[in-house]
Amino acid sequence: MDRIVLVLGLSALLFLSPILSWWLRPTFPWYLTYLIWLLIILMIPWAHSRLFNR
Amino acid sequence: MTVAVETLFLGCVIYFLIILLAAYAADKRWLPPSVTRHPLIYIFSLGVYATSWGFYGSASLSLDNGFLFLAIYLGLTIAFVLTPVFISPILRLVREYQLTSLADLFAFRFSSQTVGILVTLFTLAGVLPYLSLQIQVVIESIEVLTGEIPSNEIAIGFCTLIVVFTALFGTRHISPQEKHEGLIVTIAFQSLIKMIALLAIAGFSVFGIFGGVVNLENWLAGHPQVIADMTRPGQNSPWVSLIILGFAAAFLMPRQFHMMFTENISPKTLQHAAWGLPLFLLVLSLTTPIVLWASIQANLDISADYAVLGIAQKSESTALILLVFFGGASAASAVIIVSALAIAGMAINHIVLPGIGTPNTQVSLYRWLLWGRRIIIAIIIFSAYLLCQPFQEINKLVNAELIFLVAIAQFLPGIIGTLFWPVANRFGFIAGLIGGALVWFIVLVLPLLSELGQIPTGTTPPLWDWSGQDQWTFVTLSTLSINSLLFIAFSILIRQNPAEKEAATLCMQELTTPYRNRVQLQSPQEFVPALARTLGPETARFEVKRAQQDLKIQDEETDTRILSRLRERIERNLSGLVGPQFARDVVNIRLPIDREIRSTGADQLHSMEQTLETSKSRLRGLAAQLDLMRRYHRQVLEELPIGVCSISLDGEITGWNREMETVSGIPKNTAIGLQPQFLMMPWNHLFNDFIESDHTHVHKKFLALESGARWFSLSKASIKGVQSGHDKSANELLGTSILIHDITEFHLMENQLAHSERLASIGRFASGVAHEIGNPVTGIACLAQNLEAEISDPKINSEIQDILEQTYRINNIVQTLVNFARRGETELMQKHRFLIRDCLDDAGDLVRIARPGKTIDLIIDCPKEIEIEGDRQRISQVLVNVLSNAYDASQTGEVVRALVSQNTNQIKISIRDFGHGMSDEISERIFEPFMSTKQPGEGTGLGMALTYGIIRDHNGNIEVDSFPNAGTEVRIYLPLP
Repeated sequence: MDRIVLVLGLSALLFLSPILSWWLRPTFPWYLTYLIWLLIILMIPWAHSRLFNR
Repeated sequence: MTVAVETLFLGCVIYFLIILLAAYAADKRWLPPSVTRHPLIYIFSLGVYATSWGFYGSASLSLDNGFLFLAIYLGLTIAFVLTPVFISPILRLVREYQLTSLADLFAFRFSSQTVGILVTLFTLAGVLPYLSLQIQVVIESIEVLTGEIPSNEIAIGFCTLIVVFTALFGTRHISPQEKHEGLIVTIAFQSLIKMIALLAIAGFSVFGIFGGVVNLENWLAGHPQVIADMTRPGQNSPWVSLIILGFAAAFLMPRQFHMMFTENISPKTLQHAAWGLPLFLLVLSLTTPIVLWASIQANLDISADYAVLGIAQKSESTALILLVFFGGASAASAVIIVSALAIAGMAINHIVLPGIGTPNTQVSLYRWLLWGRRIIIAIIIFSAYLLCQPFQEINKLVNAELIFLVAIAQFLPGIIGTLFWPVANRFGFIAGLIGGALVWFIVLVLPLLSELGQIPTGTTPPLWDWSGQDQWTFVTLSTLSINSLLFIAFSILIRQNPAEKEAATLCMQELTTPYRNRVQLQSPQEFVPALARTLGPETARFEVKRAQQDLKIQDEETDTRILSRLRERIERNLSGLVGPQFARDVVNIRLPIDREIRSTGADQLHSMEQTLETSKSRLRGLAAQLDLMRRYHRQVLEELPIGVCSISLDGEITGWNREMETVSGIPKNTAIGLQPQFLMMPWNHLFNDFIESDHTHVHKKFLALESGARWFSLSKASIKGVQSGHDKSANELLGTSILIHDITEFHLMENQLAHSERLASIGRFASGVAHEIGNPVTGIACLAQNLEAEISDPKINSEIQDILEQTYRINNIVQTLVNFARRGETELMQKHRFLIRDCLDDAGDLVRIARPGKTIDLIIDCPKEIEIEGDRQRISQVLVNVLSNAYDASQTGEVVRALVSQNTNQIKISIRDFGHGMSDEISERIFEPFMSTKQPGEGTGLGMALTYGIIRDHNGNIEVDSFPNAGTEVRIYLPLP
């Protein structure tokens, strides 16, 4: 689990700025922001069962 | 459109009554537990995260910074993605050690009351202005709705209602084991109202202001600048810092901590909350851009902070206006209620109790704590009200919210250290918190005070200007950096004390040693007067009883190991009442431990085993390999066909393998932790005698067990520390191991072999003797016959006749001896199948004829069809011998039974008499030649020896059970033909 946390933390550090720049493009529909957020929420139960309870 | 004050007042009364009813119904269990404990209720109760800032202020932040308002919610989402890393471990600690607040958690981890005091004071400093802002929002929203400035009485009335409600439903129970279901349901209900109100206002915005979804899309297409403003990322936008603040707030804010951990009904609900709460916040925040665009479209002449209310007014619907007002008031009141509860708990545990101590023992501590909490709640809420006046000048809700979030984020290094860094200590935590708080005060609070006119303007130039960063990024990163640096530096430079080290181990879920000290008291009854000196008799009695019930410990218990567990349980329960540090002090003083017997190996090893079992899946790398090796060795030990028992230095059993369980019949769970003298008979004596003896090996130790006589071989060895590198404990004595081998089968076989060998040697001897005696006796008989023929004197002839009779008798003995000696010459046997019944009848007749004056009732129970294969003459001889003995042992009129049965393997012939029987000594020698209980001249003593030989020659077996004055049973086993 500690490795997963490290990978997640480093990924966040490296990719947060490009992700934000991409995510908040004015050319995308305004609700895309929420759709991506919804996708993350839907992945939470899956992530908990697959990554942490292994 | 404005709303009449009377209408608003009536609406408020009805709304308050509904909330009261919901809380009361939940508390009184009118609502079924399936409802009040449903995961949805827990999720909505965590919706207290969304405050009046979330309800009203998001639109304001969105107007200036686009989607930046989502950052706080995204931070929370990330925190919930990492639930197993941060939130679940905190919940485990809170539940296991009965911690009720963040101050409790830090005080427990760093074993320091100062830490608890500091956390409480800092939280109080951060939260008070924030609560005051919530009150202010309610007052301002009333002003917006009614168009009139509300009087102070309205604000005081609002605060009074909140105090009454919090006291009624938030402090009903004093123990954290009992949850406030009324409070949980109320907070969940308020979150639901918030969501419904925002969805209703968003619906009105789309359909009432824009005229439908298509029109909204068209409007957006015609105003590209609006979308551009929303999606403007901006290099200087504080996205990362707000995400960090949202992440920290998700579980460190007092109200979140209280609802998420202290009032958590079941850890399982956390799994649902992990996706449920982010989804709830997504729904809330989805309405924000719609409300913002509707306010732009409608040209509202109102502060962006209250755009939601402005749109509701635009609807001209009193119901919608009231719904939105209640949504905002719910958000504010929920925050005030839960925050006040959380802070009151912290204040009483970490300020009041350390400051003034417990009340007089005549006063009930429970009542004192309850009322203390209620008074503190009232003080907090009315203090927040008093701060409304200076803080009403804050022009943006968002600023106050973020200042508070930065303050809360100062606990982030501490919580990371608590969960992941065992070296962290209280000096590091205190230094980090003070450093971060100072920067927070200088960079955020002083400018705020300057803005409010409390200090001269210009004294605190905005430091972020020269840093090139935006305000929130600079503040967040600078406070957290200084905090973390000080925390790390002091933790490394100053060493932990033992209590901190132990707490660090417990927090990191490493090996736990929960009860390694032995309490000096002798029974639970002695705990009560000892604790009563601090807690009062009523509380002491109740707490001891509660701990006894938790652990199912009887009043009569005297085992110090169990009493130590009781002591530890009392400390945990008290921790829920008065905080971990105060509870530890009370228990240490009133329930002292015996430091001379600090090490209890059995408990520690057992505890380590349990912890390793539960944490198996979390081990990685070398630790996992070591654990694998440990399991392998343990399994080898468990599966050994020899009983293994290990005993620690303090004389307690630490190991008890499977063979040991089988041999002794004592389960492992019972044996572990016991001292050998407390094992059941006869094991206690066996172990004690062997441990105390100087011998390291004992062979053939006899034990009379319920299952029969058993013989054991015992060995013992000292367990010494393993020599490794710089380990100073190498060769240190750790205990004793004892091996027990059940050698009963071996012993019986050995006996049988020795017996057979003895019989064989006697047989050889008898054969030689018979040969040597036979020839002279034959000569004597011949001479006697010659004399008889030559002499006609009747007197001499009579004497010669006597000589001949005696020589016949000698010949008979010699012949029997020869037959005995020839035993084993099976090739001489005339083997054929015959009916055993016929053989028994013939033997019975012969025995009966030979004893004409004796009337014995011989009962033969033998199926006619049973056949055996062998030498009929010899088997007859066996039966005659055994029946003769039975007859001779019986008195006239008694019964002799001959019972024959057959199973799949063999035929059993059992001959039972009820005569005088034999002693054990005689029984054991019954098959030896010349062994007889009869009078001299009545028997040769060779009958049973011959019988034994014949049966063995037929591959059978013979057993004798005899009891003095009770009779004898001879069992003959022969193989099936």
